Amino acid sequence: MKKCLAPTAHQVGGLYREHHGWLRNWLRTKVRRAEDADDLTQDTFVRVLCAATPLHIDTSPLREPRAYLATVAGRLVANFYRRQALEIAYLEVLASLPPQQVPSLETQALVREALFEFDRMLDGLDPKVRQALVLSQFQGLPYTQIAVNLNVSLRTVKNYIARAMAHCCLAAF
Amino acid sequence: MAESRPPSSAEESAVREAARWFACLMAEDATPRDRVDWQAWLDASPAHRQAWERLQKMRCAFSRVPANVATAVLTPSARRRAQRRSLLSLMGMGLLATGAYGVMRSGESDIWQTATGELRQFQLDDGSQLYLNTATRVTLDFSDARRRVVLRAGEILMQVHQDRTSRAMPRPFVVSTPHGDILPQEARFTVRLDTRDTRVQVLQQSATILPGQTQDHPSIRLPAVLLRAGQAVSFDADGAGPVGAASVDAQAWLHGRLVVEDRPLAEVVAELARYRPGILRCDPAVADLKVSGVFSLRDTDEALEAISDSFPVQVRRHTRYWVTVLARPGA
Repeated sequence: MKKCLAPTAHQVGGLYREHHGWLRNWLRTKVRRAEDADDLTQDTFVRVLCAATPLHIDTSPLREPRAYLATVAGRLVANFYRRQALEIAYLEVLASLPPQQVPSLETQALVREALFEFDRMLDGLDPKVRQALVLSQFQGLPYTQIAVNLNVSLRTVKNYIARAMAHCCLAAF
Repeated sequence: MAESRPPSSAEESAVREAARWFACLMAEDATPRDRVDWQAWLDASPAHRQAWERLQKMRCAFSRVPANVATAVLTPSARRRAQRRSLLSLMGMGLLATGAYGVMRSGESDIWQTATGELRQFQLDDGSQLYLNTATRVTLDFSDARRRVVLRAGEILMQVHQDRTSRAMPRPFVVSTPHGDILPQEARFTVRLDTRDTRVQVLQQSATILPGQTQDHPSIRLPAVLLRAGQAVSFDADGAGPVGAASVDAQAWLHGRLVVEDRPLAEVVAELARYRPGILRCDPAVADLKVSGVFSLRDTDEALEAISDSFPVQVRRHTRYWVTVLARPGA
């Protein structure tokens, strides 16, 4: 968790008072549920408050505060949908399991968090590289079969795995 | 897992090297020599060992997520589908609209087939994909209770997805042949029907084989066989044979290729014959010749040419539809 920068708090306070309502309405056009929009509004201001570089709202006012807020909020909305898609995909897997194989709620929560973590780590990888990693590390398929699945050479599969593993380890730093 | 400190460039390069070693040692063609070299690399510096441990920790973390979950959730295509669905439902449109093919409304059935040498792909309205190899015929029988594909002739590759049509209960998926039923878990698998038996190869996920259990003889109860990814089995109505490894080229036909390693020529010629009209036979004198290579299924003449180029055989064309592979004179 990064440290929040207290000195900017009152600056953000001004931003909050002036644009909070606008941002919430803007977010309500992006997500369906009002509660999600409210949460994302809060998250946006928290994000702005915790921004690594202090804002100089008083000294050099943001020229386009709403554009700035929309950029931060837009990123959060993308994340929100990403998480939701992952959640849905996981729920679908759970729904397809025979009842005796459905894991406990506790295990589900652990797996869900691990999935979010992996998804974050795998972010930015070429889809084929990502797929090669899943086929190899999760499904345990041999390279020869991955090569056929992805229609690439064995050498390429080896490169994909090396790239993906390095990417994950570096993302976990 | 997170350490909130960016890796130094030395750490980064050690991790990249470790990942290269890892990818190399994972390969089927890794040699004892590779292991010796890797050990030397590992011993060369504590930084190397540290990087290697990071990698092992990552593998350990991977193992916390079951394979089927990881595949469904982390694979880009699976995720895109889920994302699309979540967006659609958010737009108030409900689940995916049904039906690229209207023929599969409940209760109706339809026949799909391919000619010799033809390859076709179908998208079923439940989201599953069906590939028909050469000279294949299937009947689709989708009802409210189940999704059933009956293989009447030839070979298919199925990619089964969870039932996407909006129903309270997802319907089970069944592939039937005259020799029994196959019940896949959202699996990717091939089914090939021959006169004497049915062969199933599972590429992803798993499938349960119920030999002898068909729509016509539901009462017969023979031991079921669970096939996991990478496994294959042949079965007929009297039972299943031993479970073996799926061929690495199980789905090469999808890409119009025949991959063979050290197979008798007669077998390879018989395989090519499935893809061309007319008679293609192999002279018994060269039947046992061992053949390896990658051949084109889209152009079997080209494949035959490749074989006669690399092996001591010649191709005799009596007519366009009657071709024999036999020993090359003087070879």
